[in-house]
Amino acid sequence: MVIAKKEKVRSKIRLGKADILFEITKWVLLISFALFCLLPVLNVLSLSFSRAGTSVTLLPVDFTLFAYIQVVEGQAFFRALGVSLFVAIAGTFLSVFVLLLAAYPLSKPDLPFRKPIMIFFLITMLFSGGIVPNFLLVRTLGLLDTTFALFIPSLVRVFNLLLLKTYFEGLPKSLEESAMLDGASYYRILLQILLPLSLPIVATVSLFTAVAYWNDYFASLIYQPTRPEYFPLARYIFDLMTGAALSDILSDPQKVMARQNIQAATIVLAIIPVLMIYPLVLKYFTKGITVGAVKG
Amino acid sequence: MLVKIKKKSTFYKVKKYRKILPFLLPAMILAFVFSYIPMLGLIVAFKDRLNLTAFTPFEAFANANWTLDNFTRLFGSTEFLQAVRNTLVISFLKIVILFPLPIFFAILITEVKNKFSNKTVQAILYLPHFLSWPIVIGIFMNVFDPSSGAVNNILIRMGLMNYQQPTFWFADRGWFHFMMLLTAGYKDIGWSCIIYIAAIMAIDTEMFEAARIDGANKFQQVRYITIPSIVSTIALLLIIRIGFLMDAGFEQIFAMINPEVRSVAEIIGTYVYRLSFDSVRPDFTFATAVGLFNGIIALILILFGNWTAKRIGGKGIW
Repeated sequence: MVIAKKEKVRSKIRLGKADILFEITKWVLLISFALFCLLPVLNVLSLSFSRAGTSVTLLPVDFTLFAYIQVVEGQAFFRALGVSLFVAIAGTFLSVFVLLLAAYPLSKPDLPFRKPIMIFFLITMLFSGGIVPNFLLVRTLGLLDTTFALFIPSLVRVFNLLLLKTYFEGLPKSLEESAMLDGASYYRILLQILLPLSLPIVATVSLFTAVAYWNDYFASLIYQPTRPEYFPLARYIFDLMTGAALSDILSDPQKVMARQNIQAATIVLAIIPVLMIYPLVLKYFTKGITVGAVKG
Repeated sequence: MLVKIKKKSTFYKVKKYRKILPFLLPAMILAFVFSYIPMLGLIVAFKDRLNLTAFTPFEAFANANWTLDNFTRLFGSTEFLQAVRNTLVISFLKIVILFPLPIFFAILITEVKNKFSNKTVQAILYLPHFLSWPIVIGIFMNVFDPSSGAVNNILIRMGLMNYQQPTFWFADRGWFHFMMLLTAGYKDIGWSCIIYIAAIMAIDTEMFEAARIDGANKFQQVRYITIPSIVSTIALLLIIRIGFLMDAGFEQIFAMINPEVRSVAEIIGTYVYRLSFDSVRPDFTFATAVGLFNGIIALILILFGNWTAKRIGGKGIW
């Protein structure tokens, strides 16, 4: 009934000249912007498949797999990939676990000291000791130049804590109460009742965290001054761009020629894992960020 | 069944929640160790020098003398003042040029009514946000490479550039701000649309229906319905953005900086990094003083931004 009514209204109102102009402008601008997002990536993709020394615009020139063979044969790429995977998985798991534990009590409106505890967490969002004191701390703890330095210091992500807390606050209390009458412990309530109900927000927060860890090179810059074998992928690519990780390329004149193609191939290979989880990201991120915005 | 209702004293509440209060401990301990201890560590800004090559941090701290020199040096240092100026210029340019674009594109995206096209456009526009800064800068360095990059080749073929004098986009002070805005726009314009899209989707569609019946065209609908409906969201986000003025984007600038552009590109973050890690004689205490100064200004701006946001919109960041 409602649909029929809308159809009727729509057919009655014809598109005016201004509306047609609007449609054209809209598509021209959106397509231009989409091309701006895609073309640089396509250019690098083509470059990675091109012969060294050619100038590439959109399609590969003299198609070759030389650059990929170089990346795959070198040890550095896979080592960095391994580090990044470990950091993203371990960091996300620990971070979300710690935040779930904290979000549960904080979602109780009458929790004692609730406000001071919230302020305790919020302050860490507003002010930090800065890089030197953090570096000194990580050094004192013996974490310098380790893989753990890449995620242990940043496990408490207060923004994610707020998202989880807000979500828990919105869950019905009755389930929890009946579980408690059945004698379930709080820990079991959290894991077996609240967690399954909170999957959308937990997925959102996990993806937020995983992407943040995957893309981070700041921690590596500060906490990993000397040991390239523990560098994550983002740091490895940074060093490849700035020339700090070129030692194995510079030894071979053929590779020097193909330096840009090798860089391009490394970038393409590093984007693939992101593309693999991108559908999930799109599904949950857009939901998560709007939940945060509306309720926040 | 009727239990005497106790006054809800703190003691009573602690007893009631004694089993879940410990759940807070892991997060609180981690926050204390990795956020609050470094804040205490800021007192090294009041020490003259830390000799970390010979001592552990504690010994080095004990051996150093108390001083205020780092702060007097701060305001005499042309490098520091340059870093402050660059931070402000870069943030200002980002706000003026990049802040309005997501609003504009969000309006266009919500006007794509076909579900499949809408999803596709969003998927493409958000993608760059999920690439790390080294990858984004790496991609642009290849595309804008002086001799083999696509951009220069197209410009040369079109006769707009002399191939003997190609533009060094990333190593030319005059182009730094352009490249900075281009790469920052590439990574984040699309992603920043999300919040505006959510705000526009919340507008009552009957308003548009009514306007259409009254003969308003699309431009008029955007001008008189969409924009006025999201203006409070825009104001809120603008204030929050201004609160983060001192954060010019370390990860981006650090990936772009080189000796050619340093004089316009060095921001406070990269300056602190260079002082502490990228020099033969790391000046940890002075770097900490720079960081502390920056942190305090940033804190004031954020608190002020949040206060203003609460006053005008009734809602802040927290």
